[in-house]
Amino acid sequence: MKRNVMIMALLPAALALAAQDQTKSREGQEKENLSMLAALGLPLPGSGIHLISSQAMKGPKEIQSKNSRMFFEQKKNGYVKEETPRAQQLLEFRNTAPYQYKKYEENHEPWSTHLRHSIADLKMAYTFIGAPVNEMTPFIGVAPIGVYREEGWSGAVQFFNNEAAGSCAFTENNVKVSHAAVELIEQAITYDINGKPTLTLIKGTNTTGYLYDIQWFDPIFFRQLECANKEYSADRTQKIMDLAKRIDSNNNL
Amino acid sequence: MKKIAMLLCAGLFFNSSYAGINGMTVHSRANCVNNESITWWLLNPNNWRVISIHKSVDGVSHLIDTGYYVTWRQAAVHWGEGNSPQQYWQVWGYHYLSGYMNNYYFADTYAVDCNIYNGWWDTP
Repeated sequence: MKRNVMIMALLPAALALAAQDQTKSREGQEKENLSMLAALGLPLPGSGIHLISSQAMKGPKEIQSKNSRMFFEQKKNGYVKEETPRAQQLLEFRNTAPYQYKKYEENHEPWSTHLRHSIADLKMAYTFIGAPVNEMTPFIGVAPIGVYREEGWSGAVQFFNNEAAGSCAFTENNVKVSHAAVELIEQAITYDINGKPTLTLIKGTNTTGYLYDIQWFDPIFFRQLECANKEYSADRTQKIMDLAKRIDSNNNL
Repeated sequence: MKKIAMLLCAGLFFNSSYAGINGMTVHSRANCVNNESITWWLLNPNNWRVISIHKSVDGVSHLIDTGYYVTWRQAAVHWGEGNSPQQYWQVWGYHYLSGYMNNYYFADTYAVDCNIYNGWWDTP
């Protein structure tokens, strides 16, 4: 009986010590986690932007071969001829968005990933600015992407049409919140978007439409502009590039 | 025909306001039936890899690595581990995307409970 009373008396202290140990072990374990990721040859959380050679890029050979083929095809023809469902999705988005709004109109959970009418309706872990209002003709909606932290979402995607560019989605990932990092193959990089490392891939067919996909990277944000059109033209590519520059500038004000 | 296709697309949203509907989302959960880390984007396949690291309060520790695979839902799951006798688990998720000319570390996640599923599990 006396022993049981002693154990009960010590239990709260033991639990408190275990909780304290949990806090210490999270930091310690996260250091160990990074060692494990490094041993796998993977980019580490929060390690920034790395430009590497194609030989240094790790991954299956068939993926590297495909990427190489696409790079040279785009260099030659301006785009890659390949059916691209994402282009169809964006071209149809203005028509499908109302169904999503209707389905989730009673859902006000901040962690839900459905479309909102305004960025003010999203719980964000930082201030999301997005594309300039006058570029969105019209603005269709905005939704979260990334990880949901206690403070809110680490990124968002904004859907809109633009007369010159087409049916577009602007996606932003906040590096400080998500701890994102990236390895980029140096030979594929330009600095077209305001001097930032930029990756461009244009893919499509007359059946699916064409997706103009531009990604650009800086230490605080990884951003992407996707615009879909029924046709390909070099002139359109330039217009979408210019739109990406204006979106980037709008966010650096 | 076009309207039918659109309605079908809309219908596919049925149960999944927690999967990324409009873009890539990531999460982990722990001590919640399974211990797991997941990357997903409803019906939009990408070449993803998820590494989920699990540690219990009594020192059991292991890693699940999905490797890269093209799918719309990449899940590193230890089924039923969240109900195991070791009880309290911590789960870390590391979420990667292999894209055009890049290897992208997208985000990390951490959970010691049902995390963003709290509302879902509570819903009758």
